[in-house]
Amino acid sequence: MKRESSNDRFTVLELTVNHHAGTLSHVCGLLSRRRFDFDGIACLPMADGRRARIWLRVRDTARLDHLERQLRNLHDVHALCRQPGGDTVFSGFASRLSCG
Amino acid sequence: MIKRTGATLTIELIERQGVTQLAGIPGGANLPLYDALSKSRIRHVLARHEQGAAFVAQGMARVSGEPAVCFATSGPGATNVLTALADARLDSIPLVCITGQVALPLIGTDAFQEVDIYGMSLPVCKHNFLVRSPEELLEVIPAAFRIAASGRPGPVLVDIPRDVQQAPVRFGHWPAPGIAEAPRCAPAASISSAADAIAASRRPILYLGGGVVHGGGAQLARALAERCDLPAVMTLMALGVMPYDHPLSLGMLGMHGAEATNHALQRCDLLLAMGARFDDRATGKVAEFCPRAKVVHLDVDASELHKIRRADHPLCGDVTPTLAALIDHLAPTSRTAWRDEIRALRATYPEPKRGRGMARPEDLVRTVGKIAGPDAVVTTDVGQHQMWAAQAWPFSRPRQWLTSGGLGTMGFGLPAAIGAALAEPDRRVICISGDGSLLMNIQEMATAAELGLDIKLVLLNNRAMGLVRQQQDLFYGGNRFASDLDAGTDFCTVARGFGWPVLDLARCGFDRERLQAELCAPGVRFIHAPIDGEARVYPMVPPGAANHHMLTENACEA
Ligand SMILES: Cc1ncc(C[n+]2csc(CCOP(=O)(O)OP(=O)(O)O)c2C)c(N)n1
Ligand SMILES: [Mg+2]
Repeated sequence: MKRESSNDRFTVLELTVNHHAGTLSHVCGLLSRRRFDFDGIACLPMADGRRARIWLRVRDTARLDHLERQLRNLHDVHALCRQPGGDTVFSGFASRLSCG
Repeated sequence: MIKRTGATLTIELIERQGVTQLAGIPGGANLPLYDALSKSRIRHVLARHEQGAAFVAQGMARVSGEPAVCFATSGPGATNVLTALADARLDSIPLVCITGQVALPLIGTDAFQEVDIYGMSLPVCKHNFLVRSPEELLEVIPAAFRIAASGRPGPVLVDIPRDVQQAPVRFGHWPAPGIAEAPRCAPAASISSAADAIAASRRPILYLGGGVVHGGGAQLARALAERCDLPAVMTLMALGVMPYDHPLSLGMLGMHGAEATNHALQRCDLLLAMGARFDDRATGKVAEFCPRAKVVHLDVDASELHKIRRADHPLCGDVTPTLAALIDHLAPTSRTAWRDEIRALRATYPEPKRGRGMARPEDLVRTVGKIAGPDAVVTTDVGQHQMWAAQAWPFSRPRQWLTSGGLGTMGFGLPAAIGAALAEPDRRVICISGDGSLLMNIQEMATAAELGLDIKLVLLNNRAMGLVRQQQDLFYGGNRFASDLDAGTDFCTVARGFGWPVLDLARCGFDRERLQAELCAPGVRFIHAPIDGEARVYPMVPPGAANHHMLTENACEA
């Protein structure tokens, strides 16, 4: 299996999902079942309490389109958009990692 | 205010979906549901194993196209249905499976008969629900039916804890039943570009998959083939879309397809994939599948497009409106040169001689099919007998042929036949089974006998797991291991023990009239057909090889 290397490019996918315990299982289950490596995941409920946001940092490979189509097929996923590079969700986590 | 309990609400919501019968087995965690079911007008079919129950539901769904329902209790009941759910997922069959679960406060405590069926069924279902309050049922049950039936159909699991079944619930009005979303036509621009490609092509082939059956598009697929003079191949799941004797039908493609068919695909310049997903049993080595062809790919599931083979003309939409629109774009065409080329291929690679009698298993299957006639439903198990049936049955219509394609589950045939007979009581149902497969759900012989269904079970007994042995002979140097079934099981006695009248073809010299009389008799009938244990399914593409490298009987048995 390919190891992450510094010149891999990443994309952040932003998902709007139903906020219940099973949604994360659906999303993460899809990733492992379909052999998509992912690099980071974050999740927060939205203000209405019925929906949540999931951010997935995934490697920008040729299979990304396919991953998107399969994520859209999940019934708990309402919307999905791509935020190539510019996302800041994960930079805070990354700084915690670097302070050890 | 309407007052119910979770259980009575669930049953009434299922009734309001138009469900008139369902299959299942009760247990502690779904007893409130069963209590409510006993007072409903829904007919309950007591299967003898939950896998059987879910395959009974599959049989109903496969012949009707409507979502069918099965019930199981928590724990072992729930785990027993998993195989049949996975089977429904891979073949896109609409099911709603309702499992009982331990009470909410007990979830996560390793309570008696607690398993996380929500988690376990997640990768094999189209969607699944764990219901946390009786109010949620008002939304979840219609949603389960809607999701199962919409777009690409599939199984949905609803896990209902026991206390949710027992809890009272009040509500103002009944929700509308969940129905399939309206079919969507592929975008107009993609249709006209596909139409242009068809018009420009000189060697097109229509590659029909199960999606054509599920989407109710068989008639339109035939109309398209006839209008544009398109030779058509079918996957295992699509058999029946083109009648077996249709002049444009090239039959099944792939691992056990006809040689000429696979060679024709090799030459085609445009492949029109309709509701087919480029499964490896159909394509063989993908890199060498239709190497010269541009691809038009119609699928209702966007994630199938470009998954295995990049489509030059993707069409994302339902098969019926999209085929109708496509036909509108196309002028009648005749392709004499291409048809002549295919005729020449068929002369170069003739199909093996088929006898009229019952000497070979495929001849026996065809004879049974001819006697059964076009109205009969045929189900199979998995193995050589399944492939002989696929090759030899005289198919005439969609939804006539029920077989486990994607998962290839031994044990499918008998319970699926029960479901088909329940859903379409006016049709005769034939189950072609093998001695290995039948044992995997043989307990359902009790269910069928109890119900007195019109099922004829034809057992092709080669005293072996024939398809496994065939692979060992051909690809493992003849090292036959763990593939004999030589216990001397007396299936006729076993069948009688379940209350089935028996005809042993060996004892009447394979007499056609006796066979006909038995197939035409009412009720359950067990027909035992001992066959040559050395018979093999030909032609065969070795696993992993390209489709034009087929092993043939002449080459292998010389
Ligand atoms: C549940 C299950 N287990 C194992 C297999 C692998 N398998 C495929 S065909 C086959 C043998 C089937 O034997 P039988 O039903 O007698 O059919 P035959 O090939 O002899 O006609 C086996 C074991 C399977 N398809 N399904
Ligand atoms: Mg056998």
